[in-house]
Amino acid sequence: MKPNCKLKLRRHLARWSCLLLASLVLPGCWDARMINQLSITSGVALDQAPPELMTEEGAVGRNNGNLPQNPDRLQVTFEIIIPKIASGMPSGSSTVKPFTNITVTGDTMHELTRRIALETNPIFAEHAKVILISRQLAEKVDLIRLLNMFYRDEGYRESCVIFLTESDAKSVFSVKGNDIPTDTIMSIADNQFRSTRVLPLLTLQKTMEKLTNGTSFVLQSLNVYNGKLMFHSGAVIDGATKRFTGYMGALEMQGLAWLHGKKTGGLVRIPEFEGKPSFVYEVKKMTSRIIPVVNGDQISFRVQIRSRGRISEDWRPLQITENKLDIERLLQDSRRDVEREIRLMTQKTLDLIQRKYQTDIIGCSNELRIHHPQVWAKVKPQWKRIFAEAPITVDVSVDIEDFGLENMQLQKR
Amino acid sequence: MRILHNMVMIMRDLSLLKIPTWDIWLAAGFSFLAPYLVYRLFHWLGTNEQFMKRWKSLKSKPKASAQPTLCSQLRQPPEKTEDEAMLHRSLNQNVDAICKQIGDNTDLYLRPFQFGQHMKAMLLYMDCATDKQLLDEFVLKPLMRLSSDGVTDRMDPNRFVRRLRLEWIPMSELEDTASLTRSISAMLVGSAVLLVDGSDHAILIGAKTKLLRAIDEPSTEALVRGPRLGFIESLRANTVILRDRTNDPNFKVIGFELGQRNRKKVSLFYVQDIAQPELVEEVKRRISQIDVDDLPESGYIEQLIEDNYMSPFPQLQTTERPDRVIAGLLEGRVAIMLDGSPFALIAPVTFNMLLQTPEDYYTRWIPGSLLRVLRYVSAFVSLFGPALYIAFISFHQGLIPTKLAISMSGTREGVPFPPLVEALMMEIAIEILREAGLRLPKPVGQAVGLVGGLVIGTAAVEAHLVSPLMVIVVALTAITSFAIPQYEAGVAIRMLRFIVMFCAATLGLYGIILFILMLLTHVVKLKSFGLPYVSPAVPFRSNDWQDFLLRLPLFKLVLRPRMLKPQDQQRETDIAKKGGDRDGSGRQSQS
Repeated sequence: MKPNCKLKLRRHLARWSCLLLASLVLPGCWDARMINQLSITSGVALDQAPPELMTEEGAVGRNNGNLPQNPDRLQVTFEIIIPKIASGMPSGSSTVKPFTNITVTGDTMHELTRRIALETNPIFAEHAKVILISRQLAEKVDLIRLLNMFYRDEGYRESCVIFLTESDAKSVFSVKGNDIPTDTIMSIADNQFRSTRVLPLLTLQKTMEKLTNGTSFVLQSLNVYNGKLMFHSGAVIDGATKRFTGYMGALEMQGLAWLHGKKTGGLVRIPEFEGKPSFVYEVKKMTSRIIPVVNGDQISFRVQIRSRGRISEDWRPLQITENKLDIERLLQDSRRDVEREIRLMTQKTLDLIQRKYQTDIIGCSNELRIHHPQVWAKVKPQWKRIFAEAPITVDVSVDIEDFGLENMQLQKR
Repeated sequence: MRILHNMVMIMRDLSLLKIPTWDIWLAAGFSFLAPYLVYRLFHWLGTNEQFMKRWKSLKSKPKASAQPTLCSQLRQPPEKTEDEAMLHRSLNQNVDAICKQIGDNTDLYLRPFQFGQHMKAMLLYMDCATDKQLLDEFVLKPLMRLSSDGVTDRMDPNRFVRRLRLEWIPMSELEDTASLTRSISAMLVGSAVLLVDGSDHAILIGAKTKLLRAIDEPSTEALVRGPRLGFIESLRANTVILRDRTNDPNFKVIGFELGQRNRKKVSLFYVQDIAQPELVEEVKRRISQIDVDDLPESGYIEQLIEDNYMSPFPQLQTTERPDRVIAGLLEGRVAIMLDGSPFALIAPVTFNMLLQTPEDYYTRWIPGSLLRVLRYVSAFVSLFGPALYIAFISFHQGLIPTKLAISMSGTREGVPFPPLVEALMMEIAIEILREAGLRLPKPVGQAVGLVGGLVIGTAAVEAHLVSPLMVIVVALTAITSFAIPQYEAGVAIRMLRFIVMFCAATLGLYGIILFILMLLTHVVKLKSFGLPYVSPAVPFRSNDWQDFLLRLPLFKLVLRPRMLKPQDQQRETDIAKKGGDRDGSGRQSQS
């Protein structure tokens, strides 16, 4: 080798080793963990600790920890997937559940998470999909405090979905059957296009946004009946106290969906009215607009709801007719009935949220802020009272464009 | 009043936007001014004639010093060497001199005969290297007949030899020489030497036995569609193959003789009015500087004239296909061929050439382009497949879709090794299998590959040495690396794959990114005969992208690749179609 080459080679080597050294030393990426040494967590359930664990003595024995008394003690259950069973490897009988639940008790979320290390592999939360909060806890503790750790920690995705549970949150993770409960929850949540009673999902990100804004909102609540998981109802979270205030009924939930106007599916059953049997209107599209009207000191709102849809089931006597006028009348009647029903439902919802809960969960405040910022700045401190007193009118206009295969002439209108 | 109020409001809003402090302004000013000033400086230098003159003279100096060696070594005429032994007038002395040098070879054959009464002659040749039938038919037969005529008796032997050459031996390859050394060296490569007593000139009769194998399809570069024609080991035959397919008078063949002990013929092919003259000169210079004992294969030339011996990438393309060579020549590249090697070298090479096949051009443009894209994808998978697997498994479990992560975790249950060791084991096993399969005879080799792969794979999975997913990844990388049409490029990618695996195992995706950055810096710096290696991409030439990732329809490829700076920029065949003349009746000629 020529001396020139040798020099070049040495310089090359020096340069490359410098680069190598720098790239090895500079990054903080040394935390290689094997995928099979992780506890892949798919869901977290937050509960209030049972009374015997709130006291000092209770906590000592059960959790290896020396905890002083705390009435707000948390109990958190992690649903940890057992990959070997969940991936369908032929091992063991099929009656084994593909997950285990680990329950720990403690005063703050992060402490709890660390306590897991005493029992099993560290929690790997990047695949967590669901955070469940029990109603009891949500009544008692500020939600921001509960979700704070989840929001800060980059281990939890911002796309975790938050649910409230009527029963104990951890009971959701021990329902009957061998399906992973979080998977069941997520697949039911996909049905929101089929039912107005499944609310749009609230991710961790959106929930935190609403909580920090002080906006009231509705969380989907779950329940366990006879060991079976169900989507239960809507839980109203007050933006001011950041706590659970109350549930909504089924009709009110439907009304809420109409006021929100963001769904693309759902049914409206028009009940028997003045002797006419009921029929069902299937929503294809619904939109709603909230228009704030400021008249001096008087603030009122107009909600414009538009909808397109079809009659999907009709118990009224069959009317086959070629007469244009008859057809027109039939259509008008149906439309009027649907509109009346929607108006009724929304009125019920408005009654509930204005009179009973006094929380603005339909976003009136936001519209007011956008259209009349000065007015909003003025009324912001007493918004709760003003919202409760504000007159809200609802305009509904429905377009029935399809009767199914019956009365096909209607479509050729 | 109202306007004033609004103004005040606006001012208040503005005051919310903090006006940056002086250091930020300074930094902003600097970050604008510094590149701008550098740009201005170089712009000024570029336009300054005095500076440019000095700069150019500074840069061209080493070239000037290289010039004389080029001339001295290029095309050494054989008769001009100094210490050459000359032939004697006496036949016996000549034969003795020859026998002294090569007489102990068993294949030296001496055939004495006579013209008339006095004139003795001797035909010397190497037994097997010379075609005896030719000698019998066209040398001995006419000369014997001549001697019986008795015309030759009183002629001066030197004149007689001249007349022999000019009139009596009906063969095309005859040479008259007075040099003993030349005679011997010619004899050694298959010429017969005819010595006549009394003359100090010999006739070299070119009657070499032609050892040619049949021309068949190259097995390393098989095509579905395309000529079934490959080069063979004879440079002469290869030249014929190329000449056969290029009727262009500008197609040039420049010959070299290289090797100190075994002189080997090397030819340089290019099309004179396309190839950039600087490129041709550079290749000539590099070839003529080769100084070795022997050149057994064109791989020697490749290694001796490449730009960067540390690079994993091949800097010359090797091919056995004449159509590929001709396509390269028509793009403005040059080809180098060595006698005794069926592999032609094409220079300069760019990275995209390594992922192209001639078939890209022979099939219609949509399948051609798609297959080419497929090859790029498979090169990527082949390079990064195991590395990505390692990175995802051991660092970025959150980036895998949940279901997949669960099943990956499940399959890795009970595997005792970290993913790097797992991957290394399987990759090395596959490489060994491949190497073993290459060396063995074909039918056995296939069996080894198949059986070895299957058996090792399944057994390793069943023994929980590796996870089944790893086997899939390894198999995938092996298959994708077979999709790379150039063997050398495939080897480069296989080598680099191991480096990426280590990067991924230490630093995860970050390590892979670091590796990509290093690879890119290397590749961008790398040049093949002055042409940047990733050329149509960096430096960016939009015209050449027509034939880079995709291959646009032929009539779109009007221009030859700009990166090669061809002298004649337009391809002729495309003009007709471009002019909308689709039946081709009125093809414009363009020169």
